[in-house]
Amino acid sequence: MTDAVFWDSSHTSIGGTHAMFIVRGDPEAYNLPATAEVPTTYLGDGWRSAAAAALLAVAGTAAAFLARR
Amino acid sequence: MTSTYYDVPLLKPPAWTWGVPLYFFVGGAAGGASLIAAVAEWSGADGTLAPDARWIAAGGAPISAALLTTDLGRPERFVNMLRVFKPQSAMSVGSWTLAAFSATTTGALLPPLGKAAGTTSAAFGAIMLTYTGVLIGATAIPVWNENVHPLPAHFAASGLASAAAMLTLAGYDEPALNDIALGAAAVETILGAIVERRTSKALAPLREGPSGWIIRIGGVLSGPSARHARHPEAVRVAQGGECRGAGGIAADATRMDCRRPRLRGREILIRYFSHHL
Repeated sequence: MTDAVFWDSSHTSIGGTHAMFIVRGDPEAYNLPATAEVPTTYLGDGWRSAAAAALLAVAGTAAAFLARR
Repeated sequence: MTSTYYDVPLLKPPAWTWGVPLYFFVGGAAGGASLIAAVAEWSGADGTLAPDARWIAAGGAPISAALLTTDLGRPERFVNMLRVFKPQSAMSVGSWTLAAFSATTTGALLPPLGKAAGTTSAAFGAIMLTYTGVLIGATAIPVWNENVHPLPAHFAASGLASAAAMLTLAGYDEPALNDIALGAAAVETILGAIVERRTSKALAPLREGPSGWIIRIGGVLSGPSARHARHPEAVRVAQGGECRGAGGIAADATRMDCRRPRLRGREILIRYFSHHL
């Protein structure tokens, strides 16, 4: 038997679920996510992107009105 | 993607009702209207554009709260959302933003508070326009979290375009509104092109099945075809009854200079339906 896989999330952003599995083959076949992440890791990118989008919206609206004066 | 455990999906779907997507539209349009109202007032746009945009913003705020309340099931649960402010939760930030947005848009209708409250409401309106992108982007759903970068800009563009469209349909033949809608449609076109070029497997819901159809039809309607309908050339055609052919859409997608058309909402609709259906 050479296809045993050790599934452990303690080195990801999850930081451990108190659950580790030794399974045969692909962990995804057991509904264990291949790359597990905590969704809050996306917040930084999200808010930076939101700030840029908000600035663009304000600047665009201001430009539309001021360009016509 | 490999097969899952006895074909049971890895993730559970979000337990959202119809109220949440409708809130995304109403909240975004209200936020866009508050921004247009404040800028129109500061730039000294004449007529009743700024007051009418304020009414749209002030009307959208309670409708937004009502839609979120239907999702929560019991109205008093919305108050529970305001017990704490939690920066690590986009939903908590959004609840407080909506509360502040409602208060300031309502205040902007009262003459003594007018300009100050209107300007403050525009600041909250800019958050209303964009935070929903963070709200769904920072989740475990792959098709959303892989798009956490374009989502806020997508929501901002669609919110501003909706607000501009409502004001145009209300009869405002204001060139600035047309420019805002053209800019928003340009952003939607660019974001659509970026997403279509990517090949990640997680983006399958944007391309396959009913959700793929909805996303792609919505993308064409809010991006290239909206730009086409708002373009001066299209307006001339709509007014003069002359036909330019569907190749105009492709030509339009590459042309970024958009001079001022004089355009009314009804003509956009006539133009749109006669040409694209």
